[in-house]
Amino acid sequence: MIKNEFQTLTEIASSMDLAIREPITYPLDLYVTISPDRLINVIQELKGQYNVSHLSTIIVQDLGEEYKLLYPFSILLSKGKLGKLILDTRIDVNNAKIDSIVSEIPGAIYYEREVYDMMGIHFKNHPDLRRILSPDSLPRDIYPLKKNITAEEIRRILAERRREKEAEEKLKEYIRREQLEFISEKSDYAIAVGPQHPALEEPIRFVFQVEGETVKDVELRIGFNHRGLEKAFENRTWSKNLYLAERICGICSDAHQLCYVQAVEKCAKIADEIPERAKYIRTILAELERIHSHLLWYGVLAHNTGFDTIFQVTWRDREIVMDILEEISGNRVNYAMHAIGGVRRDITQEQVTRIIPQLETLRDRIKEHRFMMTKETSFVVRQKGIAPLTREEALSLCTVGPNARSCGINIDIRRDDPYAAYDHLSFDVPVVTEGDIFSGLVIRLEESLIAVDLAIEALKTMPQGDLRIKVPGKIPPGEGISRVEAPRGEDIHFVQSNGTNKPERIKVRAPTLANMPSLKKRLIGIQVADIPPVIRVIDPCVGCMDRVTFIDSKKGKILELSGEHLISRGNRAYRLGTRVLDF
Amino acid sequence: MVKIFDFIPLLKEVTKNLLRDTVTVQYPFEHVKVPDGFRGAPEVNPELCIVCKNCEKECPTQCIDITPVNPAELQNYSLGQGKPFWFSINLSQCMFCQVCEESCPVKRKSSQSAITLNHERWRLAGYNLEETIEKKLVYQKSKEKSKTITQEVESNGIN
Amino acid sequence: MKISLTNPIIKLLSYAMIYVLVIAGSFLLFRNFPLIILIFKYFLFPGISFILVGSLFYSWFERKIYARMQNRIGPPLLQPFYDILKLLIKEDITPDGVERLEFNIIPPIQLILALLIAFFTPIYIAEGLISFEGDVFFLLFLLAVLAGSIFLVGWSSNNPYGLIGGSRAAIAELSLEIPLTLAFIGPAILAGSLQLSNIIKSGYNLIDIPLNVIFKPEAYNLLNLLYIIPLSIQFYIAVLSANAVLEKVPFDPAHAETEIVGGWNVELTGKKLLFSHLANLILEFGLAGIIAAIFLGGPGFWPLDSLTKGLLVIGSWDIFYYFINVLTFLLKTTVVIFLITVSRTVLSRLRIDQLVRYFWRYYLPIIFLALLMIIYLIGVL
Repeated sequence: MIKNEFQTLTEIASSMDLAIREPITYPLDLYVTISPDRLINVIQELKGQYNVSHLSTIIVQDLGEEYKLLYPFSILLSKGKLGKLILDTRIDVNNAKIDSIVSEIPGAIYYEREVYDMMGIHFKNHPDLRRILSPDSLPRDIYPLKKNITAEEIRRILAERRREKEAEEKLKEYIRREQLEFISEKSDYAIAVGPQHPALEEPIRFVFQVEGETVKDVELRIGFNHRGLEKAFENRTWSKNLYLAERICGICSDAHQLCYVQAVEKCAKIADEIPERAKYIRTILAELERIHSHLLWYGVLAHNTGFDTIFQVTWRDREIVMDILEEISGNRVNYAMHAIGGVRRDITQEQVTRIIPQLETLRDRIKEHRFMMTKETSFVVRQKGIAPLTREEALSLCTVGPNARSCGINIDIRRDDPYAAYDHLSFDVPVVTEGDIFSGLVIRLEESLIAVDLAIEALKTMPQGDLRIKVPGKIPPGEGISRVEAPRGEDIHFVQSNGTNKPERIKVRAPTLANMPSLKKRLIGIQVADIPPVIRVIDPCVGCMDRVTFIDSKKGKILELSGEHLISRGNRAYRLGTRVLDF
Repeated sequence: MVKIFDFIPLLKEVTKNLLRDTVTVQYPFEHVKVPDGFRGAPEVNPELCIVCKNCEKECPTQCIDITPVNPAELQNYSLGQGKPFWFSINLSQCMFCQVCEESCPVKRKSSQSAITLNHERWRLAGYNLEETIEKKLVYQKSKEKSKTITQEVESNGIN
Repeated sequence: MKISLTNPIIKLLSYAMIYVLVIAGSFLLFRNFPLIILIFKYFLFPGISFILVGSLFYSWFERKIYARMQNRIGPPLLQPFYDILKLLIKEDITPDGVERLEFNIIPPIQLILALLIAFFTPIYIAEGLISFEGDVFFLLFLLAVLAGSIFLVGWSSNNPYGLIGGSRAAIAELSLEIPLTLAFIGPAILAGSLQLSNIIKSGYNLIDIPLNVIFKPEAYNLLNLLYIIPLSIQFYIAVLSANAVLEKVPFDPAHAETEIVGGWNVELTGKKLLFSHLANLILEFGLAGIIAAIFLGGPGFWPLDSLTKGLLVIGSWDIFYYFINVLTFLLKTTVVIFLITVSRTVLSRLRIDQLVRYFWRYYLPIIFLALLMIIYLIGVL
């Protein structure tokens, strides 16, 4: 990311003649309205003059007469701040076509497929417009997010289809066609990895075309952990959604909850009034979760390459962090510390004096891990130089998080778009340029050490004060968008309220979806034996990735397409009893 | 030993591990120590509960169920105890989030909540589903008091 | 250490005692019937039964040490036995499209081959159950046949993972044959014979050379100590190649569990998997025994010979001498297996092309140099 000479987003918007949407509450989130035909030109101008290349996600909403599409772009301003310029276009329901931006921003390929899948908006000139998250047995003319169909109807159709032989045959035929087409074009035979495979923790399906031991092409299918969470968000009040948001993912649960809470606070315009102590506690929790996630990551990376000793040893040390988290928040996963307006629990001084020595031990242990992993030749030789990604490719594919930093892109949401207490703390952001698996390992090791230091510093310098402020049950109407640096990258939540005590639309884009295009790029050309470490290096968290689906505007009725049409294990499926249907 | 001295980086860790005790806690025979703030299963204290039904409303999974009970079905019931209710918690639906404890108005008045998450109660496995629903009798002494507390809490906003 | 039946060491000793008594009893009982003694030799001791028990014990030992090095507890003593029982009761499925003949017949053949290799191991005297001139080469031939059978199993199972695993195993075998052969040839040159028992009796191995130099200085002068250098290099390479034959980390891309879901034995279930698995365990025992025999001196510890020989002689058997020989054999095999386990703990899995490169580019020249050094030293001394 290259800095611009402009200081605020309004300057950029006015210099490009864009219509700014009033009122501006947070100057770093600027909404501008443009018409759909101007979209490509605006993006080209942004790319050429303002060095913009990072698109976070594409948000779509069905407003009855028209569709609203939001494109949040990240712009690096002169003071080092990362602003969000959000392009707002409207297209007519009866003519749902818009230009695809994949030619300008290759990383938007999966976002557009998702919008097509959910709403049926057709993107012209998209290289591969197919469904991405819905099941195969869904009929072609049904788009789950539209208002003209209810969730109950879709569930009924899917259940019928599954009972028919026809659906089974169609599915088999689809798989056979997918594999045969693939094989006959390019190479000798195809290997399918997933949805169940010892190298994967969560279900994804890859079909690799191999020749000998080299991978020639890969076909990716996601959507196995698709749970209907965006619909589920709409049927619960704001405070109950806190507990749903943290269950999007088990490893980055705190990041999702924090992002949701910040988005709601921005929507309610109270983001500046959060007490300082609450902000520090949020920071501490986020950093502890980062340590735990990275320790998990390199344990599993070692296990995938057969190095079980490192796996056992790092997971033994991960227990230290889990015990600390258990003591602070009461649970080892799903901490539920955040509340709208602050945090729910306090960290007492006695706990602080108990935690800091444990963190010091952990720091020494992580240093030992670093010595063991970076110096052991048989481990390093499996990682150096494998599946590299250049900086330009990473930028154009919109990679986020440690993957971007391992390719030489110096971006970190904690430093550039600070939230919680990060503007009071100083920390380094390690960046490496090689872009292979070894640099991913090095970056995450350094980040764990920095996270330990940050947590200790935040614990020591925490100010006294309140823990939360009172927030009314009904959030005033508006929009809120916020992002955090989850252990895997940039996690972004968008919240729209219509004045009631339940949200109107919530959109979540988890970091793994942003890293998927770069995964596909990395997988081509490697050897079969390297497939698990390469999949591992982007730190896939499929539970985060697949959460989107059905939105039904008819409030109050049904919801779940929970386990019925999911193809494989959804052990993070939110189990609802029949009583919830009385909402 | 792939190249000549490759085993050296891990040698220290491996010899240390050979010489010291294992970290495995053999669970049924040894016990894990659980910190005080751990979120175990909720249990209601019938002496403090005023049956304002706030926890039932705020529970995200709707696992608390407070239903009135006909006094004729109870033994040892005397009129001075108040109106009886069955307070049942479905432990298989509970997600141990502590919202019930936070939303209890008794906690605000006397800093001790009527429904608490007991940090010792986490060995909840059973042999059949009926065991997961726990029922206790609670008594509502005065209906007006419960109503005023509920209204007061509602006006103060989100818990 | 508490003295109770739950303590694994006490358990081990009690099982061992019972076993020894049964064997000794059955041999003594029938000592006048040579045919029955012959059958006992092949089936009880040192035949199939002893080899099975030994390989199960060493499988446990290896897993226990591996776990302790990772700060875990590890399995109980009878765990390998329970694994075998479990595999016996599982359903045996042959998938569609496999070549039925190869698929069904090769796992038992693997077991037979492994047992055959283990029969060469010298357990209580310098000769194994089978011993003839040139048996070192025959062993290597059997290993090659074993690798070929692995490839056939992988290829005939109708699964791309199996095919990849099988081809990787074949490639690995091709790479490791020459270093392993040369590693065995070194002591054979020193002994002047290709028969395993002669190699042991010649006394040119890592333990006997220092002892000879110390205790018999008139026959062996100090320069003989120089033999230790090439012999230890060859020992090292032999241990690594044994690791590769047995498909253990770092040399197990052929059946990498987390990458290709089991490789060549991905479609084996039930009894077929049992035979494959047992073949692996028995091969480990046999190979470790043979390496211990060639490089560490086999059963027996000759300074103790004068003490133990002739103490307890029944018929033509020197019982106490044999007993001590078996104990030293077990001890030496334990050392070799310990080294194999340490390398398994401390290293990570290599890719197949890296394995090939390491064997051809690094191990082969080193072992050539070691061999040259031996030949030179023979000429000089």
